[in-house]
Amino acid sequence: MAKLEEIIDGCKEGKRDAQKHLYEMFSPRLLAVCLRYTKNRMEAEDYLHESFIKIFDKIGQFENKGSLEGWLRRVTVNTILESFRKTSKYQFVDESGITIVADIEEADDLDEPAMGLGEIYELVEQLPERYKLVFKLYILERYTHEEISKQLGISVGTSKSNLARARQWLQKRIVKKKAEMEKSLWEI
Amino acid sequence: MGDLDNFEKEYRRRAEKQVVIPSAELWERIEASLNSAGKKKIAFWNRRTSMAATAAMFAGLISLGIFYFNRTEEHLTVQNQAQSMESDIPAVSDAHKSPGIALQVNANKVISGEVVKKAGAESNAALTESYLPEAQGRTKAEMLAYTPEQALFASEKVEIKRLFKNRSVEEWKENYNVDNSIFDNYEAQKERRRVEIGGAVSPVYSFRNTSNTGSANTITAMNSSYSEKGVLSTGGSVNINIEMGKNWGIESGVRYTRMGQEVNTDIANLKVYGVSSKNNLGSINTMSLENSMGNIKQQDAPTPSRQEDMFFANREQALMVELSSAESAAQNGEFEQHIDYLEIPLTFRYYLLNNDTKLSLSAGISTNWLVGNSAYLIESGNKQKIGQTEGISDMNFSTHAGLAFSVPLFGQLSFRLEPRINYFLNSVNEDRPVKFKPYAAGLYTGIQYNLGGR
Repeated sequence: MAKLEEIIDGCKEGKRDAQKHLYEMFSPRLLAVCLRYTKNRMEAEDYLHESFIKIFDKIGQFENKGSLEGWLRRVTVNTILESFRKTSKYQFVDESGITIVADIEEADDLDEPAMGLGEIYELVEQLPERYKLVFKLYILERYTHEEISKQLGISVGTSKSNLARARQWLQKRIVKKKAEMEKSLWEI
Repeated sequence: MGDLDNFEKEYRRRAEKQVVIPSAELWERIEASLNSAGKKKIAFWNRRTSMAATAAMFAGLISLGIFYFNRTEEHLTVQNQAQSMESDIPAVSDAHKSPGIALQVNANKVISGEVVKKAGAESNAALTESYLPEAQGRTKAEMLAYTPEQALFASEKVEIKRLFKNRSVEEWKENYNVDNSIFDNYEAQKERRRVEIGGAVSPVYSFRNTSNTGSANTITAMNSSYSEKGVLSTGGSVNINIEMGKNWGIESGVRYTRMGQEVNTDIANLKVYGVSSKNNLGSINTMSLENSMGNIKQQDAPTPSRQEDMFFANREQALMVELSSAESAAQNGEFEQHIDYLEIPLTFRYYLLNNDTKLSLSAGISTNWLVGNSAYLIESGNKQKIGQTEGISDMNFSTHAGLAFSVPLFGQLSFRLEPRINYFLNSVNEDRPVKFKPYAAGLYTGIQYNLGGR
């Protein structure tokens, strides 16, 4: 396999082999990113399609300084948000039909009494629509409130407020679930 | 807020490690967009024509034949199972009895994550037991249903090792064009396993190592100017090389090597007289045909360089040699003895550097088959074949070692330079008391062609 630097250089030169290599390396992770913000798989693949066209078009701007994956994710998420702005909607993420082929679990985490993967996703997806997008952008994509406000066309204050309300909402559910778990343990 | 912080960290950590395989035709769509000038039409193309493209793709896949059809069917089977699964969880006992249901539960667990919560530890154990023994026989798509999400499943490393034991995983990776970081180590090993063929030529200097030379001393004592030295010739080889992992390779092929020696010795000049005449009829030049390699068996009488001379005259009965005249040793003659071998080597190669540029140490053993045996006389500037060395064995064993350096040229071709020595393990002439073990050194220069694997 060619080195990542060589792949990037090849993409900058428009070489198809390098572009395909880059696609093969990152498309599974980027499709997972798309599926956090879109309703179904076909739509997610459409966004991934558009994202890769932009990636290959703009990869000359990537200066090999930061993480390539971070840059790719940023382009992908911005592509999705651009579409949201154009259509003025943000739809609930329906993850049915999505096959998660690998969710890497560290062996030492197996002892943690944390919520399962499904429960965590379920709880976030239950967030009210108006909070969910801000929460995901802030937590998963590490966007600042300024970036969120710019990308979504809302004020910084609205972004902060939505995040705070999302956290408040989650906090209540987490406490409740914890209490339920402890109660069920005592019953056993 | 500690719980919330942990929740957010866990949510981010798990989300960042998720991968979802795109459909097989997505790259083709992207490539088509890249090829077309109208990139602005992408969104339209996506929405309207992707369905048609998908339909065409399926039609094409069906017509490709059973092999591809089967793969597609396996993939769809799991998708269908996944989509048909609702919140109903089969009873643990059912899952235990039926591998099919166990698989469904497992697939459902991957989709929704609900099974962990609802089935409980006991049923997980049952599922694990009912599922794992059959894992090796399952198809690639079903193997994808494995997830290290549950504590009762093996850790990630164990899971991946198990996946790699099943060849279908390799097929899976090819089919889905996925490059997942969790496979990197294994992928790297796989890529290293590449096959090359090549050819090389070399100037070869060969000589011999002798032992038990007591009898040879008596030979060489015959004249003071007797000497033996090595010969320079040309060798060639074709090879096939298989890299077995990052550092090791194995190589074989066919090599041609000419070995031998040059023998310098006096020419004794004897006057020849006729029985009935006191006139000098001419002279006979004689040379010792014995040396450390063996006796030269003369097959063709050489033509003398002077008309009045006769070499190794075989008509002595008609001649009389003047015994009283002293031999003259005014000139030297030279034999050249060649023994040509086809060598079948088995070489192990250790790579000190194994990237596009390679540096490797090689060592191995060879079987050598005698394919040529010639002896030449060089006298007064003439070189003529007079016979062959007697007693040379048809087959021998040798050992070899070298240091190879190669650099990529273009395409799949690379240039390789390898200084190599070859040393015979046994004497080439078992009939002789003198043990004659040839050795050769060459600088093999050639081209390697990569057949695949990288």
